[in-house]
Amino acid sequence: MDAVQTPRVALLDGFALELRQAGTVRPLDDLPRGAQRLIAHLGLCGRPGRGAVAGQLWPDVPEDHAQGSLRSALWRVQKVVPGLIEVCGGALGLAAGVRVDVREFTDWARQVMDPVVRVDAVSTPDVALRGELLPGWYDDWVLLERERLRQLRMHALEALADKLAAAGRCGEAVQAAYAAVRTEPLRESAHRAVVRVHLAEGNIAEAVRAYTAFRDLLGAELGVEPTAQMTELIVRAHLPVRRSVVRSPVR
Amino acid sequence: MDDDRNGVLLVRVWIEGGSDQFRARLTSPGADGSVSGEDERTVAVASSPEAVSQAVRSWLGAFLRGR
Repeated sequence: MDAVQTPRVALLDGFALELRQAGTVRPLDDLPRGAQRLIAHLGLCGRPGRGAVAGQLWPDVPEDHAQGSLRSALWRVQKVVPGLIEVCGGALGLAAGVRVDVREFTDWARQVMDPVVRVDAVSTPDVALRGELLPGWYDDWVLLERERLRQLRMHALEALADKLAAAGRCGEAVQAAYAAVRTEPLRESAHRAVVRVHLAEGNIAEAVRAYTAFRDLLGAELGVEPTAQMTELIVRAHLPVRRSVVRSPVR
Repeated sequence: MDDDRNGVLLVRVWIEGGSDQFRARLTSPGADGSVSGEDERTVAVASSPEAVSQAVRSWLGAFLRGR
């Protein structure tokens, strides 16, 4: 791999491979599907053994066929981006220096959720607000990782909202809280973050509106009320709480 | 091929923090399996394990009937 070229693998919002060199970005759009899957798998799984990679990527064919498909995919990747993948003993991995957006996102999320890290030490990168991992891919190894990242994003965004609100950066805080809500609209902890941010900036009307909208959504979708924890947020602020009209529990 | 049908049903469950309230969302990809994650279709939402079981049975029935 050319030392001045920095490959970047994007897996959030879809697969992309770019080469960055001297301020220019060159997307590599013509990679065959097998090569994309190999790069994506290594971007998520570190340095697995060849047998494990072949078994995960081609689970429905005999082992020798899977190994043949792996050799073919490796050859194609090495042809397009020489040195992108390192083969070390029986293991495969992306070369040192290859950037992967999922790894950047994971590092960011861990920092945000670390209670000793102050919010002004953590910027909100583009990867934090990107979509899901490899949308449209339904391999088992993708599904499990997608769910892990989805959970991580939700918790990180809620933590970020609280840290930003505590730092008085309420505009950014409410954006982070609503990003968490978009990840799972029925998740109450995300809606509680929205209410807490509005209360922190003294925006009582918006806090009540957010509470009421969630309560009505919950009533319509699940036929249940918000938890006592959610209602206490409003009660502690001496705001009126009205009950919703509860409907059927499943739609 | 019609005799090689397959399907994906995702069941996400969680307990709301600070309470014992169960929540679930069941989703599946679009018919062609190549839609973006944002187009994931919600099959059902539920607030009890029994409602999840019912929704899974219903989805499996529809899958076996080819719909």
